[in-house]
Amino acid sequence: MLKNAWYVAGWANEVVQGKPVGRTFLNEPVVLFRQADGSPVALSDLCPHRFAPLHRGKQRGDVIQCGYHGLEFDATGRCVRNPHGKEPPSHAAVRRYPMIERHDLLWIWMGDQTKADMSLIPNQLSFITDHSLAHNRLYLHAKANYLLMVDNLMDVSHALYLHAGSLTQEKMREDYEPEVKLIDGVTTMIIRHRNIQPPPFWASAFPKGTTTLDRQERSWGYAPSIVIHETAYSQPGQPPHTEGGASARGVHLYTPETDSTTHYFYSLSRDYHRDSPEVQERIQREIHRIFSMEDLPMIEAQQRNIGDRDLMSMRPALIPSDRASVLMRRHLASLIAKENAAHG
Amino acid sequence: MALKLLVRTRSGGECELEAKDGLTVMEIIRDAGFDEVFAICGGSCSCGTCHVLVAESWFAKVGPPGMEEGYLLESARHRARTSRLACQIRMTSELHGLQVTIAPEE
Repeated sequence: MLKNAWYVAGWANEVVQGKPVGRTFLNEPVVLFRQADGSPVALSDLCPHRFAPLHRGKQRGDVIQCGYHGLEFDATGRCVRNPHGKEPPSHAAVRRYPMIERHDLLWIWMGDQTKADMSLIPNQLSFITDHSLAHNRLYLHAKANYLLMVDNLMDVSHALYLHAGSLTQEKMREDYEPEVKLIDGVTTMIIRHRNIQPPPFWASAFPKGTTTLDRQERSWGYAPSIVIHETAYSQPGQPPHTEGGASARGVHLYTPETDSTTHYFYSLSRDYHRDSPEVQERIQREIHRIFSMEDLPMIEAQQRNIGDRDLMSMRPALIPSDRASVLMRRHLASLIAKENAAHG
Repeated sequence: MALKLLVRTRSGGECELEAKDGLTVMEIIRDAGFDEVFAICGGSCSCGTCHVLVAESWFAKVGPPGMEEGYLLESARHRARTSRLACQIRMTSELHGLQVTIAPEE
């Protein structure tokens, strides 16, 4: 896993002042809490005394008090109070992880603190808080390695079969030709279809009886594990994002929890029926259903089959539709190799 | 005329292979029983595992990688100036005697 990178730790509204949250990222237990001034903090969740989880303690002001024996730690991880003796031992400190809030998300840096650079968070994510769009958000916990989750989004040909009743039409299986490029470390894909009937998920975006639309799907894969994916339907012959069309752009933010489990944060931003509570609710139900009843069972079953083996070592019979996921994996592997080499 | 392809393997051994006109370098190496060139995508420029280094003296004739090939080679650990994907080099009489080295494993 790439350590020197920003990973999503949570939606901003998941961490409320006074209520510490415990989560594991890249196999490391972390406690998240918010100080009085609103700034979010991430510390190692292991109390250095006897390794009890700090998130089971109390937040007192800007300090975390361990629930087991009462040692207190400030936002820098320093032990500021030892109720049972004089000075706390100098090694009674917890690691602090850089944390910032951007795009309504909390981001954590799991690697070398001196390398934490805010500009590495993709600017393209600003659509998540764009007020001209309507948004649906969710969180899922996946019992699968984060790379299998990334593969799922980098190869959206799976939607032709796995989501045949919701997101795609059979006609899209013909002439399925994604164009894939790797530009400045971002793996991009674009695919177009003409004269497609809107699939069930999209039917409500158009007047009843709409049977023919053009379709464009695009995605951007950012290392280590963020995929932005957009679908845009338009009137026949018209480009995407024009009158009479409808589009939605989603971001899939995967953070490894352990080697075999992943935190899946998702946001979908649409430009149609923005003010309809019915559409808002229907979309929320549908995306939750599709991801948890269609995607996750398949990916989790894959994980059980593969176990802790490296996918490429199993010599998968790759096909051209794998290009985007292969490029994303290879690029990430080269970043990890560089990081490990630098580490010595 | 039977074309020839000279292959240096990962262990340093040198092999002379009969190379049928029109087959790709990947197919020739694979059909000769070498396991090293995995070519897990079967030669569709989708995996990057058939990475070879073309001998300097032959590179001008073989030419640089295409765009899609380039994307896969970008992240190859042992990428060098004369790197190519073997599935994208097709044998012709012009390439009779071509020398390539199988790149170290990723």
